[in-house]
Amino acid sequence: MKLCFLLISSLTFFLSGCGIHERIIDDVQIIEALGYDREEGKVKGIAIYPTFAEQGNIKLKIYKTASDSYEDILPRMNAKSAYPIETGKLDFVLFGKEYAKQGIEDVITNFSRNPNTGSRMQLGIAENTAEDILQSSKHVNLSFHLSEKINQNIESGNLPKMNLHMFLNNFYQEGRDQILPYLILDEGQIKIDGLALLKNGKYINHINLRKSFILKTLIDGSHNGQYKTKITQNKKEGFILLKNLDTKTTYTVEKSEGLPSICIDLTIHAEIEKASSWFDLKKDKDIVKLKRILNEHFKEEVQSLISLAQGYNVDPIGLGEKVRATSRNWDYQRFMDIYPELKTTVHTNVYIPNTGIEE
Amino acid sequence: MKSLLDERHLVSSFYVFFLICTNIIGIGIMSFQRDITKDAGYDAWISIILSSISIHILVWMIYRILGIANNDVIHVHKFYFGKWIGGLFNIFVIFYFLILALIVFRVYIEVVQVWLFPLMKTWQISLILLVLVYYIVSGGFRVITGMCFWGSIIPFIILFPLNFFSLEFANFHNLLPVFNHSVKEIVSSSKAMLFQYVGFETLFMFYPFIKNPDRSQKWAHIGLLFSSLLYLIIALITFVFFSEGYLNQTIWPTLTQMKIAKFPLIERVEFIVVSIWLLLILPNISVKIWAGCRAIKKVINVKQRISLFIVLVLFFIIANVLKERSQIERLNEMYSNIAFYFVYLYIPFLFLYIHIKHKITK
Repeated sequence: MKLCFLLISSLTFFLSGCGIHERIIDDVQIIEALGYDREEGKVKGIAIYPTFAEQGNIKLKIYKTASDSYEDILPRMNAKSAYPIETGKLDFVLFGKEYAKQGIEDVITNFSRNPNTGSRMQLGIAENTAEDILQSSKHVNLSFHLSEKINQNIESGNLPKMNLHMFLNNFYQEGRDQILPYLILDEGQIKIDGLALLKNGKYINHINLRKSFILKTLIDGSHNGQYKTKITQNKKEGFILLKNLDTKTTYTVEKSEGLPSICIDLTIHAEIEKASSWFDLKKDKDIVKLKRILNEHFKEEVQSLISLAQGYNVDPIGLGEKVRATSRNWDYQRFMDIYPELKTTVHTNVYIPNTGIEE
Repeated sequence: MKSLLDERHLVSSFYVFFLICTNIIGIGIMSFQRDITKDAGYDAWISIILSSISIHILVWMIYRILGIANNDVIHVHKFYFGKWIGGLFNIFVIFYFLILALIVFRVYIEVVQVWLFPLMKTWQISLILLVLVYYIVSGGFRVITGMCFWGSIIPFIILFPLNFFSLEFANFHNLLPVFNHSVKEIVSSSKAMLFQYVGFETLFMFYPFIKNPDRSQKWAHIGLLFSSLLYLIIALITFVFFSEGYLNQTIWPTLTQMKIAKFPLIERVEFIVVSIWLLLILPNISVKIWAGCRAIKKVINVKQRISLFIVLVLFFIIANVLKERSQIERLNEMYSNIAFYFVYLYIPFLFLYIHIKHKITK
């Protein structure tokens, strides 16, 4: 019996090292951002990887490769690397516009099948090529600054909540089309310039940052957005910058004769950060007037965003989902047929609790 | 009622709670959401409640059956059906428990291979695990109960809260419209849910090992209620976290939804999840193997240590023969059909039969 236990315990001890594919941080090549482009019928891949020369000093470097399809981009990069490439820390995947027009479905679904892929990975669409953007991001010697840029703009800027998980949720589900951040190069710096609208993983068009904010309020509300609007009154023009926008949207679906119409109720609490000086914030009358102007303005903006989306025949707001949630016999195809003519009415309530520490 | 066994082999009735919990919650809790939504969509939470109620009734029946006999199911079979037919039933019971343990065991190995160590061979993991199982089971029923205690406390404290991280991305519209599926669809999804509760029948075997067995019924029901609440909460979280289309693509939704949790130092939470999950799997397998070996002992009078060794060797061989996911799934499907008939037809039949016979002989 003793011999038996000795055998078993030694077996357990020795076997425990077997088969574990060790991945020590110094012996793998972590890539943190990946880009795909389509050029002249070929797929070009570009990856950013950090090198740690000394403590606290990170240098970003780049692998580039081209292939006739996307599948072997990573193996081809692996052939250039001193250590095996690991995608475990990958948290940003960028697609060139040309690539996205043909569809990013394959890349995304294959990433999602890999258990090593983080669910919070961010995706993006580049205005020209992913290569331009990632090339210029190399000079910022800061790890993960691209995904952080997006996360920061979701937290405190104009982007709605998104990541790989949300993308897949919308991709597989009927009733809402996908959105991704749209990145451009602005004076050599990378800038998020609104949202790209996608349908079935294919790029359709993009909207600017102001419209993205409206879309954000429609999708999941906001707590701390900033918004600038131009107002004209008595032939005077001026600007108002609202801050700490706290917005909430509720939807009610009404049905008459089989055609759904959606009533959108928008409640906005906002502080006035800056206003043109001819606006007298002391006067209650002017505040009331301002509220009226803002009400009108938001109503118009929401309506124009919806009709814009209807024009592209994409549904980034998830109106389909709202209709599905209230209907017993949900037929997505039928909904998409009537979607361009879907009636929406918008009500807005603007509240201005205070105007900062001065009036 | 006096017990048949020596006092030092018994466990107090309170531990039935943990025995039931660890026996029910095993491998299924990581993947049941997809199976139950196949028919009933996101109304499947109703079927969780429905099947839970039906299992409560069955547990009550089991207690009635064993209360009359004051012994385990092997004895009941022998006593009421005679040597030959009863023996046939007993052989079925042995295979019933052992195959269930085998499925749990093999699926866990698959999870480890997919999520943690893709290059690890099946024989390596299974050998290590089976040595552990041998160690636990040969310790006797009290040791197994101890494992059940810790195997439900530790994973519950560590794993259950991880589910709530996914509420950050919850979309409560997913649950609407409620009651949009026919009764037939809900019932067939309840049938899929039943397989997640399978394992509570080990009660048939460990009943004589409980001190004051008639007082333990309360704990069995509480354990069952607890597990079904756990299923319900996790299913609801999954439904708001995944859209229905995406859930259909996901093999282990619970693991995927825990994956979204983010900690400063731990990039991949699922490594911890799968490792701690072993604590839940070990007692789960151990109780079933123990039940199988105990049944073998009572049927053909082989020492439990010897039969345990043979069973584990067989486990090792079969686990390595089953190579692909599709094979495991086929075994699973076959088994869940058998389990369905065993649980919903055989237990009520046994209940009625024994009650009638008991009345007549009185």
